[in-house]
Amino acid sequence: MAVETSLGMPSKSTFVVVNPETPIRSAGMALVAKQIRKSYVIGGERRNVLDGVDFFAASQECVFLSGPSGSGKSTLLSIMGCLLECDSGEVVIAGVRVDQLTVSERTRVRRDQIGFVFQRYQLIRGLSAEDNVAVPLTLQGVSLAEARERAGTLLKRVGLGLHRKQLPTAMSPGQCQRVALARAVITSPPLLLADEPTAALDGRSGAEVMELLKELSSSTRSATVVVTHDPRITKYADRVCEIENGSFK
Amino acid sequence: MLWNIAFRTLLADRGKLIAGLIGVIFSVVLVNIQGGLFLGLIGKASLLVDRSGADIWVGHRGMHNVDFPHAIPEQWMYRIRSIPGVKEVQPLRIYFSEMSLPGGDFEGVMVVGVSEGTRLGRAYEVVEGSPDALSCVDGVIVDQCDDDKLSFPAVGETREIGGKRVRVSAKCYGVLSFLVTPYVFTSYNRAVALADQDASMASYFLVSVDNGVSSEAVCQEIRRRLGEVTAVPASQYAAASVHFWMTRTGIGLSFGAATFLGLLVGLVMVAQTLYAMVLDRISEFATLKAIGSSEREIILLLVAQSSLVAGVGIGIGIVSTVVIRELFSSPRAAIQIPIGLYLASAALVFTICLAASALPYLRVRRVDPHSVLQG
Repeated sequence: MAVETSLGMPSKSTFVVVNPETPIRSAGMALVAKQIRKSYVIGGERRNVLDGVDFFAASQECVFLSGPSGSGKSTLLSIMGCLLECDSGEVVIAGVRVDQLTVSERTRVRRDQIGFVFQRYQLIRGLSAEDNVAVPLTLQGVSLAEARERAGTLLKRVGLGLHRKQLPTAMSPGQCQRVALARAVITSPPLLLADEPTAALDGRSGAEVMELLKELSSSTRSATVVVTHDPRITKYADRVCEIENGSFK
Repeated sequence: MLWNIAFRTLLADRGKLIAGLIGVIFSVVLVNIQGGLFLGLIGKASLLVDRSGADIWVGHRGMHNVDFPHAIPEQWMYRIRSIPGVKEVQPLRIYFSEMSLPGGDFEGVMVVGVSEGTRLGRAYEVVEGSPDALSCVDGVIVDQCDDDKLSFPAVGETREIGGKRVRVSAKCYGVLSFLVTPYVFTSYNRAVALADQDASMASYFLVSVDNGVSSEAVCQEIRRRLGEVTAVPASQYAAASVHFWMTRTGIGLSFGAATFLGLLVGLVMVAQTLYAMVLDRISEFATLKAIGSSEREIILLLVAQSSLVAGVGIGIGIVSTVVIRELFSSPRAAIQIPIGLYLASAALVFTICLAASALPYLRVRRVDPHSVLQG
């Protein structure tokens, strides 16, 4: 397990590998994952993708997960995001153990506790920016009118007040990712999970998106876990955890 | 919001939306026009009965089709008249004959002899010539729709039926036989004279009953008094005539099969369109699942899209059907669409569209929300 000793230090050189037996206290943590194991059968051979990984993220903390392709970082993100089940281990989000929940219960956790930012934005093409941002609220039962109003306010805040009625196809990649950020935080979830959020953006747009991600997660007091390969944005991390061959370095 | 997503994503892909709508419109128009043509055609089988103005039809025992009567003694009419509750009884004579054409040819016709001075049995309305055409000397009435078959007889023109002279004294419109044989209306006595048959025999007796009297009760009494006859309410004989052609020709099966195939084509088009739309947006469904849409909400989304395509398509389809009916319906190819057929076709196509949404759902159900993190 890689746990950084001094929160807020942006350099990879600051993390410390602690003893795997060290218990992680979940109190005050937005996310705690303990002894996560996951394996796949590939070509008839079972391969361990995650090998007893421990991880945590505190509220308002921004943790980067980095590592080479196939190292298991996206699998870990999926397990922490209740998108994938682990073979063994525990995942606790906002004080609730989620690894043993049913499919529909995990769906509810994703709806209420987690905001997702995807590499390719994953906006719904037929919906305006405002309606895209409003989707998570309406899934929680908020009326469309109120959801739109709140989405419009948030879009103004991310600098897209004039683009609220535009379709994603009429927006730049940077603007689309800002819409995706707004969609992720509109419900003020305790946990934000971002998968390569700057991979499809140029340097300037990537920096803007990360600035915004930090600002929004700070205002919603969310913990943020970012999977990234992008060295340009390392400075935005409170902690960087490097994963390789299914375990932290 | 589900409706919003369903509506806007449909609108965002207009090409596929139009393809889906065409499928629904095609199905609705096909079902209604096929059904309307069927009803229009089969309705001819009972046209003489439907328009006879009679409450009861009396004919030989076992009568099954208005165009194929068997002779019964005309004097039985008086025994029917004596039954309490009977208001009026008139004989009707129907038989096949031939009309001469100007070039020396002959055309088969069905002579219908109706009593003068009564409305019973007069299935026609005169649209050209004298309204009192039956009282003209040698007068017969032909239908304008049969003009081409009868070499365009003019009012006043003389022809021969069964070798005897007749004069076209008027024309009616839209009284066509289920058979290809034109109806020729004339007075009962002239029909007897033209037939060169036993004058004491009739084809049917048409009965009207007094207000408040049960037709069924009078029928029972007629059957009791005249053991050799069949006496049924007009609606029942109309249904029997229709049933005769339905079962003897298999026409219902033919139309039904064609309509079913049309529905199938429409169903495939709608299902294929919805499926293609889903395939195009599979990552969006994965995203919706990832951010917390439940399986139920995904199903509702697909159902909403199907309902929208179905609702709009059915609306346009029905309007198109009405236009087609107004433009192309004629007595020869009548398109009779009762309101019940519109409603039934709408319900049927709507149900099929909902069923069609099962195909894309089977694909969406397999979408793993985890896939959004796998590019």
